[in-house]
Amino acid sequence: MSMKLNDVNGDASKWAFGFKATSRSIKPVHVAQVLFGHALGHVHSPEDLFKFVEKPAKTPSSELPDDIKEKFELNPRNRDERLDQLRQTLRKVLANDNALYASQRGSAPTCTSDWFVINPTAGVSVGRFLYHLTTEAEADLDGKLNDQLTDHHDSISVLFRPLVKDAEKQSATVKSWTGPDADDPLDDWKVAADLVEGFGTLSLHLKEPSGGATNYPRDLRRIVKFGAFALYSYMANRHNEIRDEANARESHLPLVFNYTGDTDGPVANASLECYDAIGTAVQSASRLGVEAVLDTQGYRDKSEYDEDGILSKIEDRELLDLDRTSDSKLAEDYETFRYLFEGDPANDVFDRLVNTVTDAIHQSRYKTYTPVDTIQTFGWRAGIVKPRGNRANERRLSPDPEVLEAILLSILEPDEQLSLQELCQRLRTRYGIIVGGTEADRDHLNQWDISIGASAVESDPLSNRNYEGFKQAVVDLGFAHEYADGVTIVATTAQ
Amino acid sequence: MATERTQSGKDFLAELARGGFAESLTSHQRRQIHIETDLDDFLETALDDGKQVVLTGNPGDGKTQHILMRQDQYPPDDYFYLLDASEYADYGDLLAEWDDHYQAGTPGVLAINDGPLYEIANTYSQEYEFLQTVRRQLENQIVYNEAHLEEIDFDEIVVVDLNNRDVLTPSVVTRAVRNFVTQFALEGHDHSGQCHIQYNAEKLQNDRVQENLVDFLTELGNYDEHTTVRDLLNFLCYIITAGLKECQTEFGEELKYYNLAFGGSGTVFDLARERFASPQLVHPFVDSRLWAVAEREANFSDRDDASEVVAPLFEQKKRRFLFEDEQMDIRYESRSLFQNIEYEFLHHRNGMSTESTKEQLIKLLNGYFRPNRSKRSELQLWLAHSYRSKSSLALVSRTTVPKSDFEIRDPQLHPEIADAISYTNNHTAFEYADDEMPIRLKITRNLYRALGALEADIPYTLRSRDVEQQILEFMEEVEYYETYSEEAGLVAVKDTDTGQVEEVDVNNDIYRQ
Repeated sequence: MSMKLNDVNGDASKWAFGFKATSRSIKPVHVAQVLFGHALGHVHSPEDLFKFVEKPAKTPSSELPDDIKEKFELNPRNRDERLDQLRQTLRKVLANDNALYASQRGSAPTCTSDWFVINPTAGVSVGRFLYHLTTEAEADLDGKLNDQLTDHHDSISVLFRPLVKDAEKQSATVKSWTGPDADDPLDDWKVAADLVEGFGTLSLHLKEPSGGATNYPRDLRRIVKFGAFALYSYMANRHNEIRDEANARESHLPLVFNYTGDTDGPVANASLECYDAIGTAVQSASRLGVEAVLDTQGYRDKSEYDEDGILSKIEDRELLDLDRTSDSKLAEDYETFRYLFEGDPANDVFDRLVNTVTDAIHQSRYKTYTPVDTIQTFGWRAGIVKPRGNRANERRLSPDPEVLEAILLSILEPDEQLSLQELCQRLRTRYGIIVGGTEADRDHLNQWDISIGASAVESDPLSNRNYEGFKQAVVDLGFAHEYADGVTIVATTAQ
Repeated sequence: MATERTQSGKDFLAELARGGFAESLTSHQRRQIHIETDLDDFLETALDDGKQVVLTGNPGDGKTQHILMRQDQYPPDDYFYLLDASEYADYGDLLAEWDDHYQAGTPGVLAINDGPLYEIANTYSQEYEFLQTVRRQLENQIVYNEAHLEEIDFDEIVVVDLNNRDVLTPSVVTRAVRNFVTQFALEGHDHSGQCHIQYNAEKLQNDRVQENLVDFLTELGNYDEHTTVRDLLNFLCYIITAGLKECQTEFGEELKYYNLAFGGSGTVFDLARERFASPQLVHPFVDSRLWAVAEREANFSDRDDASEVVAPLFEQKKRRFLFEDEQMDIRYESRSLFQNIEYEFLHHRNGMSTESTKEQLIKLLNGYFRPNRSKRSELQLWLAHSYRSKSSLALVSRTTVPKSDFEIRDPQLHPEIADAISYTNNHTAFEYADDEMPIRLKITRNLYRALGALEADIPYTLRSRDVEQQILEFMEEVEYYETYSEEAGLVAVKDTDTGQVEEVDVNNDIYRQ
């Protein structure tokens, strides 16, 4: 039996994370779609809508089905031209999340109500994981989501109403999240338990039905923004949670949020180190997954997979099932694999194989999209790391205000007031977020071998400038007020 | 302290200019520098009524000064005074003492900086019930609608937050200037000739210069920055003495008050520098005349070097002109410089009625999204919605809210403390009056300026996203409380790339244009 690297990659991810974080295309709106579909228990198939919002260059308005055209009372003389124009404009509304594709596969329109929630094909298992967290929370998040999503008073629902109102409604493919094989990720000390609590607190801030209408799209965005952070934080901490207990650190992986505005300097560099540490941690979690998968598949059997056995299978091109049509490419793939295997320093042959497969799936030549790639791309798409874009490098943790808002709402109960230092302490202990406000920041970072270097021009930039920048961000969100003697009080009602 | 009693007036001023203050003053000095305001009467009335007054705010707001000023008439044996909460390592001890006096009905004045006071009120309000009143008063120092005040007890405790006190008002500034110039600056000189302190004091005794200084400081008070009494006194003492006790009989421009006004460190100096650097303080005629005067006096051989040589001279002339316009006689008043400043409707609505102000605001807010179709009678609500981290490609709107649903609210002091201090609001609130909770958009100087700038047709893509975010959040909140049809509506879609707006009428499941 030969090994499909893509399958190993997916199975390893499933083992370590409980889902296949191996999708290039996953965007926050995909997560939204799955989360909402699960909460609702139903989805729609708005065929007319998808036909209508296809680019006119692909399907000219003259070729639209009559039943769609009949929904428009336009001057017959320039009807198609006007329709083209309208379609271009209206399309932009649904394409606000840049996930509206020509084919419906992977497509995810932005959504303010259930009319736009479709049976998704991207981000399904990831969304299911997040939905599981919401159901574990001691709050009626499902109920509130249902209230909001089944209301159609918002302007986007009204705008598309004639095209979606009668769309076929089906049961959503709702499956329980079964979790990873590695462990129970909801154990008390693990980050997922804190994230569950976070969803619970966040739900306390969501609006209740008011008068006739309940629709408040901002709440939907808050849930998805926090969900995006939850995914990021969960994956970052997985390795520490599933590795040998003897080596595990007691704290969550530190996330230094860079509020200095610098791309250089001690805080920016520490934030960069955290970003890299997250990549390393996710890759290491994948490696544990690969080990488990290969073990299950019998690769620990030395009678077949001793060093000679493996090398001979490489030589005979039997070890891997590679999707190549070109013989030379196939030869290069095997040659690279052999090179990795022979160069690996591990003593045990199985460990060498595990290392080699892990290294291979993290190489672009084998066309595998790993959890590391997923979390890094998703991180900037969700507004957690900067800069954005596929080509950027040296990303740092610097969340958008909307992401920070959702995080704060997940740790601050309504009507609760606390000092900024207490807030920083909560951020650090619950999610590993470090902004410079607690005495334990450096110990926490040291535990993870992340250093904050000294600055030649300023004293302790983490506790001073970064902390001040963070404070300003919280003040700007309307959640904090500064008083004399260095006291800053944080409360969500300060808004 | 004995040494301070023997200090001459000018030495005392120099000390104050260097930040020496508050608790270290003798009671004589304290009385001499005290600037009488409404707060004095308010405190005495409250003490006579048997109340405890909590004075809170920032360091330098004059809390301690007010307590010490009261103690002659209201002796500490009979009244409860707290000079400095930070002296207590443990707030528990402070609160136990406070509670004893509170339960005994002892009137008094307590000075507690706002930070510690919030901390105390947050942490101990379950233990000490009176702290709940303190907290509610703290949260309601400023109110928007006198008709809907929360019921709060002011009978036994009154909290006055001096952060809200406007120090740079004509009456306070005038009293302070007269006090310092006439009482201190001219004492204790034992030299021949005129020193820098005498020069500055004499200049500042001139009515016109004094008037201009008051105008100048009052103008700085229009900024959002909080100025304390200490900031004001430091400023005044510094522009007289430059912080030097030794008299300088040979001195240049650098020790003259109009240059010193821009040279010290502190809030008022920062504001002065910011103001002076502002392009709004440019006046074509004043500037050209002052430049011409400076050019005549300047010594330059090469015309190419002229601006380098003339610019510093011009700057000095302009600084002097701010205060000595009459003496310089260039046929303009320094006040004319300030007339260019946008006072807007925040404080000077030029006689606009509330209704006109509301309409003007609605027009500006509508104009942000549709510059050429900005109605005054109803506010169009826009929605930007996406889950990704990027600004929206399109905004959608289907709701308009009539102007009758909005009110303009000027923040003001709670009526119970309105007589205590003077307050100048730094914003106006555009309020959507819902039954449950009013939703307010704070129209600050910055927001108003940003909205006003849009009338100059700044392209949509170049506008500040922060401003847009502020407005959209307000609109989204308002829309939540509006009730309207889910079946029909005129929906506008704005393409944020091109700025184009398409309108479609959705009715009976048909689109019409």
